[in-house]
Order: sequence, then structure tokens, then C-alpha cells
Amino acid sequence: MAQATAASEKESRASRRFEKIQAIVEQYGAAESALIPILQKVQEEYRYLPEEILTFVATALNLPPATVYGVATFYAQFSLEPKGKYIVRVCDGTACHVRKNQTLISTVKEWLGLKEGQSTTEDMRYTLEIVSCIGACALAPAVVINGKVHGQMTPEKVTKALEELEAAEKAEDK
Amino acid sequence: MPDEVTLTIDGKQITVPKGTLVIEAAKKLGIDIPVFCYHTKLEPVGACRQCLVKIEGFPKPQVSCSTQVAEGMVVHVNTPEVKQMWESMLEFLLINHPLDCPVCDRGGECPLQDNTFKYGPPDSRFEHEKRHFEKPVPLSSLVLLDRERCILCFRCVRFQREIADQPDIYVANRGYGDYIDIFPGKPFESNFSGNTIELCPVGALLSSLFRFRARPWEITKTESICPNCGVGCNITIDDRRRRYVVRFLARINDEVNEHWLCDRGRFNSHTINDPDRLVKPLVRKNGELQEATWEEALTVALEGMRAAGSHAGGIGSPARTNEANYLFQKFMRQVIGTNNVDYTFEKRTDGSTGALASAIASVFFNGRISDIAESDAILCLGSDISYDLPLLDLWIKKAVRKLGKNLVFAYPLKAELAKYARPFLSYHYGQEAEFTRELASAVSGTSWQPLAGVRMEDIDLASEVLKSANYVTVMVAKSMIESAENGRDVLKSLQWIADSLKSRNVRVQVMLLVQGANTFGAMDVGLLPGYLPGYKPADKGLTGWEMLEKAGSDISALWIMGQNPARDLFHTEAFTAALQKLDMLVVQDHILTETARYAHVVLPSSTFAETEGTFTNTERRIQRINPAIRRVGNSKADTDIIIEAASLAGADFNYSKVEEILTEISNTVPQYQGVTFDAIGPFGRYLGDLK
Amino acid sequence: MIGELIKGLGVTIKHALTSKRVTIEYPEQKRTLGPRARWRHVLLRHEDGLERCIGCSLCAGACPARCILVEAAENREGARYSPGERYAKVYEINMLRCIFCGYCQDACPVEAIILRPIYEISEYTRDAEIYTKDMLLMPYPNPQTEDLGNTNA
Repeated sequence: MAQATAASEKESRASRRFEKIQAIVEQYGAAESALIPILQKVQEEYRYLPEEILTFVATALNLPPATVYGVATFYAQFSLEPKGKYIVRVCDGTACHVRKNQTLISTVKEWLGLKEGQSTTEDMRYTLEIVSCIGACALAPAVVINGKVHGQMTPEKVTKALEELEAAEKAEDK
Repeated sequence: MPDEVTLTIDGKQITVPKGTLVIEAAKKLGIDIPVFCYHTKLEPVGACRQCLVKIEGFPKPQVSCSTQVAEGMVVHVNTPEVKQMWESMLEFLLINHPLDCPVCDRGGECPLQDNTFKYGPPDSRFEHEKRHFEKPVPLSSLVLLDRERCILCFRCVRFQREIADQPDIYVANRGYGDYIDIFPGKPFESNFSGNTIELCPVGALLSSLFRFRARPWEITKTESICPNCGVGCNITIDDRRRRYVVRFLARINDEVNEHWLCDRGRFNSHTINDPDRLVKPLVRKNGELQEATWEEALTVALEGMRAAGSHAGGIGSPARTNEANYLFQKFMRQVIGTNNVDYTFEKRTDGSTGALASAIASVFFNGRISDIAESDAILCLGSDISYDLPLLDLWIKKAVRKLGKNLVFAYPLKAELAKYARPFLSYHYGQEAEFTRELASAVSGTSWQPLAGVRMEDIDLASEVLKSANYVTVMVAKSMIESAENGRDVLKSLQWIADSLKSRNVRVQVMLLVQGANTFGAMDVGLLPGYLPGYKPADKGLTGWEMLEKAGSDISALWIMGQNPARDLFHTEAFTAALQKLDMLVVQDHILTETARYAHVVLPSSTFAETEGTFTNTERRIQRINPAIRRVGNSKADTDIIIEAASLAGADFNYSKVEEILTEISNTVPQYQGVTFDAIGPFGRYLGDLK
Repeated sequence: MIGELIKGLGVTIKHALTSKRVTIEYPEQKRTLGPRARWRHVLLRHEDGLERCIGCSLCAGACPARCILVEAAENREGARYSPGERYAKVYEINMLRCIFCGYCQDACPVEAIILRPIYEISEYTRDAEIYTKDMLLMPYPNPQTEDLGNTNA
């Protein structure tokens, strides 16, 4: 009985999930050429591209799933792994690299408690991304936290920015 | 001429059609340019950059595989500069390619190895760690992928996208991180996946059946024909030590299978290598099958068959050679003295066999496979071609997708080809006759009523498509004529369609789609009740279906060559019961099939890989099969078994060579006139236009 | 004439008594072979006991006498014979055909096969001259010096 409810709940959650995707797909008229904007919208919704949703999109657009997967892996903006609520992007362009962004990376990693090869914290709050040049070379080394560019960063400044974020989050929780 | 272009390559002038690629023009002059991504049957992409040449007027080297010729173009290939570029490209490709040639299946027949040997650098200057991947990755149960060896030519992805239109594999990531992948949890299950293994210019895509089985220099190659369906794809049988078959490869024949094979044919070597192959004749003694000598087995078989006389019957096989089937019917008719011979035990409707025979005899079926792509409209009736004759599916996809031809596809179910059809006509199963009559009426402009479940406007659209074409290919499944209710009417309607189209000056070719590799041949050589070789009418006999139906009453002895009715898809129980009612059942096969378990005498025969002979395919092209491996144990070729049985019975079956049987066939069957092994040649001989 | 006969016999007797003997008392006494004498094949192992042979068949390809048969298979979880993916499931040498040219040793990319100075390879039957992998493979652990053919040592 309990199992049955769990299953039906899961099912209804799944159908609700696809409803949203269906709306996105319909918004673009299910056109094959709209695959990238559709995937962008889906990613906005989920912060990543879940596999079953890629299959759903493929079926809706009448494309082979493999083609959709090819597009999703081609662009760095798409992620197939779940991402945290806050995204910390450390620029690894030439200018930032020269201005010692490596210390920033290690500081952020330490502050977030990320292990080797891990990019998202276990509580799914933060994701660290090391990105190629963001075009803010004059402000090197640059860090983008939640879409806001912080220039001429030092380990102290980046820690401070992260602490502020944490405090805002706590305030929001209350 | 405006459509021709003259250019100079290495000082030699050549005139080629406009739009030709530089590499093709060079090939015509016999100038070798190394390639990896380029393939004649695939669209050029210029992914590997190996085929660089110097073209005057261009500041930089150009890829010859995707540069089209131009008037007055001057190309340099054999210059130190170009050689240097090739060497650099190879060094570049080898940066990440592991040098594990000794354990790689491709080692020995590898284009990368060959080109490196010919043009490559002696050494690498790359000192860092090569790229590593987990390996091998199973893409499906048949295809394995070694990503480290992949040089990213994308031939596999392009084949699946362009030719098979089943893009189950794709390029993941980009740039340096590129690799071939499948969608997670969705294996690479295309019908044609095996071709990607053959296309792969390195050992990245591997066959799980061939992996580690043999090195190329240990392989003997034999030209043969795939026995799995009516297309008759040209194959090479690769064997080791003449003892077992390691793989089948496609043999290029641009009129039948081009460069391709389907997976069903390609990965079907296991029955030949079956460890349970029969090696000795078996005779039932005290209720048990026991090993016996050939003489003993044949004597018992002959006694039983001759005792039954006209109550005996013989069922040959659409997967055996013309020679075997011809001798089989001759043996049954002359030595055993029965008219009950057939090549199948399918149920056929009354009179359909006769109607089909006279249509074949009058060369109504004159279609050619290579003309499918030439015709403007293809009418395909009653066959799920993608499953029944997979290579024709590729021809149709090429015609529709590449050449923009029209397909009218009629089948009760929404088969794979339905999505290419304009229109797709889904008639009701069992109403084939009504449906074809409706279509014929529409084409000829006679009034009609929709009865078979197809919408009137769809049929009208179909008839418009056919009428507006200059050249129409009509493909009809044999089962639609023989098994369907009122199948004779289907044939009549077809003739009506053909005549109406011809009267509108539309060229029409009709193709009979048969499922067996030699169904057409079996009918041609007289393995039909009521017809002698060449469709000469004879005394009536029972069909295979009737023989099994009347087993125990009208039929008391049966000789079955290479068929297994006890494992029929629909009638296993009825057939098994029928087989048990027989006084004498002789089964000639290479393994102990379900049918053979009920036999009184089992005669071990050869598979196609051990046999010499000919097959006649669905377009009536006669093609040769050649023995690749030695006979297993004491098994014998079908022809030898029948010759031996006949001589034991005192009949005059004097053939010392298989070719002598073919000569006799060519003297008896009008369409086979002048056919000899030499006349057939390596690519077969089309018989449809011979009178 | 008799004098000449005696003279000739004298030469014979002189050689019989004074020159060094070339025959030896085999099998009690064994001949010393050159350090690079090529006789019976040995399939070597890595130090950890894994077979060196990867079953690539290059030896069989190089063999002018066509006396080597290799059938390869894949190393699997729990049944690992050699490092890497591939190993030789069947490795047979027909010693009657072998001409001991050592091309197999030359061709081997992993130095798995060597020819050692073990020359006592006569048998009573032809079948016994087909050396299988078990016979060719160096025992593990504790290889006897003799197995490696170090008869000179």
C-alpha cells in the first residue's frame, strides 16, 4: 500500500515535471531548430539537463536522443551533472592565470570543502567552475559569483564575498 | 562541354565531370592520396586533414577530399612539400593513438598502420602521456569501442546518419575532448551497426565476435554470397586454417549491396562453427538415433522412401544452392517416383503458385536492385523491407533521402520505412487483394470503393505519385501473392497497374521480393509441385504444406533437405505431430534440428561455407558461392549426398563436378541459358533480361 | 708396396693415439653449447608471474616453417593471464617443423618467447612433438635453472 502510494506519487511528480518541459517545447513550436534555446530553458529550470528530460525533448522534437545528447555535450554551458544553487566561476584565462588565480581556486575549494575532482558541495548549494576567459582581463584575476563579476580578487576578498553570500542565505532562511 | 572540367594533377591532364572531388580525379590517374575520413559512399567532411594537396593559386594546402575540381586547376601531389604535410598529419594523428598494434584486431589491415608505413614519420616527438579512456566500451552486444584508438574521422557517425538513418551514435563533447558515444542506456542497435566496424580506419570499433579471433595474416578469404535473405549480398568469408569461419565482410558490388551488409548477415557465422555440428549419419535403431556409415544410412533412407513410392514427398530449401535443389527434385521425381516436391512448407492459396509461375515464366518480374535509385517512384507492397531484405531498405533510403525520389509504402503495420513514404498506405491485413485492386483502379482511372481500410485520398495521392513519374519500381512481396487471400488477384492488379502506367508512357520495373537466398532459384530449377525446371507444367503434386497436412495418410515418407518445420513460428505443434506420423523421415541438415530429432535417418550436410554452387537472388541475379572451410567430420555437400543416394538406387546421376549440374540446369531452364561458373563471374549475372 | 701400406697405417695409428677425441660419452656427459645456441622455446613470465605473451601471433606470422599456432582470448575479471587485454589461450609449436631460426624471438614485441640451448627434444611419437603452452611456459613460482635452459651455467 505504502509502496503503491510512493510509486503513484513518483509518477505524478514525473508527469508534473514533464508538464513544464512540454510547456517549454510548445513555446518554441516543437521546432527542430529550437533545440538549443529549449535546452537553455530546461537548464534554467533544473540547473542541469537530466537524462530522462533529454529523452523527452528528443521525442518531442522527433530527433534521435543521441543527437540531442551530442548537442548537450558540445556546449560547455550545458551541464549533465546537477549543479549547486550558487555558481562560483573562477576565470582561468591567460591574464587571470598570470595574476595568480590558482590561489583563488584553492581558497574557494578549501572554503567550500571540495575534495579532488568534486565541483559541487554535498549540500548542493555551491558549484565551483573553472572557466576560460570571461573577457574581464582588465580586472584580473576575476571571479564571477552568481553572475556578478568581482575583479582584482585576492584570497581574502573572495572569502569575504563568499561569507557575505552565506550570511544573506541564512537571513533568507529565517 | 560545359559539364566537364579539365585539370592538371602532377603534370597529367584529366577531364572529369563537374563537381568531381580532387581526390577522385587523382584516383582516376592512379595517384594515391592517403585518407581516413573520406569514403566514396559518404559525404566528404574533411575531418582528418590527411589528404592535403597543394593547389596552385591557393595560399594554403587544401583537403583534396572536399575540394571540387575547377577548370584549369593545377594540383601537386607528389612533391616533397606535400609529403612533408602528410608526414606531419600522421605524426599528429599518432599523438594520441596507442601503439598497441600487436593486440589490436585491425593490426595488419589498418589504414593508419599502412599509411604510417608509407608516408609516416619514423619517430614521434611527443613526449607526454597519451590520452586515456576506459576501454573497451561496449556500444552494443556486438560493437565495442576503444576510444583511445579513435582518430575522430566520424565515418561511423556519418554512416549511421547518412546511409542507415539510425543515428544511435554521435560525437560527444568538442575539440580535443571529442569521443564517440551512445545515449546513456540506449545501446547501438541499428540493423547496420556492423558496417561501422568495417568502415573504421583504425581499431576503434571492434566486433565482439571477431575480437582476438584471428590476425589478418592468418585469414584466408573466400568470395561468397550471404545466405540469409533474398538480396544475396556479396560477402567474403574469412576463415582460419580452413577450419572455422571468423567473420563475414562485405564485398563491394555496386549493383547489389554496394559496400554494406546488415547485422543479421554479418554476424551469422555461429551456425557454421557450431560445436554440435553433425559429423556422422544417424539412423534410428530401437527408437534411438545411432551413428551409422553413409552406405547404411542411405540404404535405409532409400528403402523407406521407395517403399512409399508416390506417397513419398521431398521438401528442399530456399537456402540451398540451385544445384542441390535441382538434383533434389530430379532425384525425387526420377528415383523415388513422386511428384510431391516443394521448396517450402508455407501455406499457399489455391492457384497462386501457378499464377506466380506463369508470371515468372513470362518475365513479368524484371526489376533490378540498382534501378531502385534510378526510378522516380517506388511502390513497395506487402513487405517490411527493413526486416525482410535489409539491404533494399538502404537502397530505398538512398533513393528517398539522397535523391529525393518518392516512396509509396503499403504494409498493414507502421514499419520503419513508413516514415519515408508519401503516402504510407496501411491496408487491413487479409485484404491485400481488395487493396491492390483499389490502387489499380485509381491508377487506371476506374471508379472504386474504399474497402481495405485505406483512405481514398491516400490512394489517390499514391496513384498521382505513380502516374507523374517517368520510371516506377514496383516491389511486391511473394507472400502477398502466395499467402494472402485471393493472392492471384493481387498479381492481376499488379499487372493492371503496370499496364496502365506503361500506357501512360511510364517505364515500369517489377521486382518480386523473396525471403530465401535462393527462393527464386529453387522455383526456377523445378522444385515446385506441378512444374518441371523452367516452369514446364508437369503432373500435379502436393505442396510442402499439404505434404505435412497429409502426413500419415497420403504421405508416408518425407525427405527434408535443410528445413526445420518443427520450429516453425506459427505451426510448431501441428508440424511436429505430422512428422511423428511418418513411416520414414529423412532429414538432411548440418545440425540436429528439432525436425531431425523425429527423423529415422539424419544425413549430415555442409553449410554454405563448405559448398560450391550458385544462388539466384530476388532480382534474379545468379551468383556463386565457394567453399571456404573443409567439410566437418564425415558430412557431405547436399549434391554429393543426392548423387550417392541416386547411384545406390542404380540411377544414372553422373556428375563429377558441381559445374556439370549447372550446365544441365542451363540446358533445361531457358532463363539460365549459357550460364556457367565463368559466365557468372565474381559479381553475378543478372538473368531477368534474358529471354 | 707393403712398405707404403705400413706407412699409411702408421699415420692412422699416430692420429688415433695422439690427437684429441671429438666424441663424448652422451648421455652421461653433455656437450657444452655456445652461449647463443638456439633450441627449445620457452615462454617467459613477468616477475609477478603473469605471462609475458599477449597472444598477438606475430611469431606465427614471422615463422618461415609455419609451426606456431596461437589462439588468443580476452583476460577477464578473475581470470587474468597477462597484463593488458589479450592473452594466448592456445600456444602450440610443432617441433618437427621448427627449423630453430629464432625469427619468433625476433618478432615478439614483448620478449615473451626465447630459444634456449635445451636440445634434448626427441620423442617416440609425432604427437608428442607438438609442444603445448603448458610445456613451453616457464613454471611459476621457482623456475628451475634447467627450465630456462641454462645448461651451461
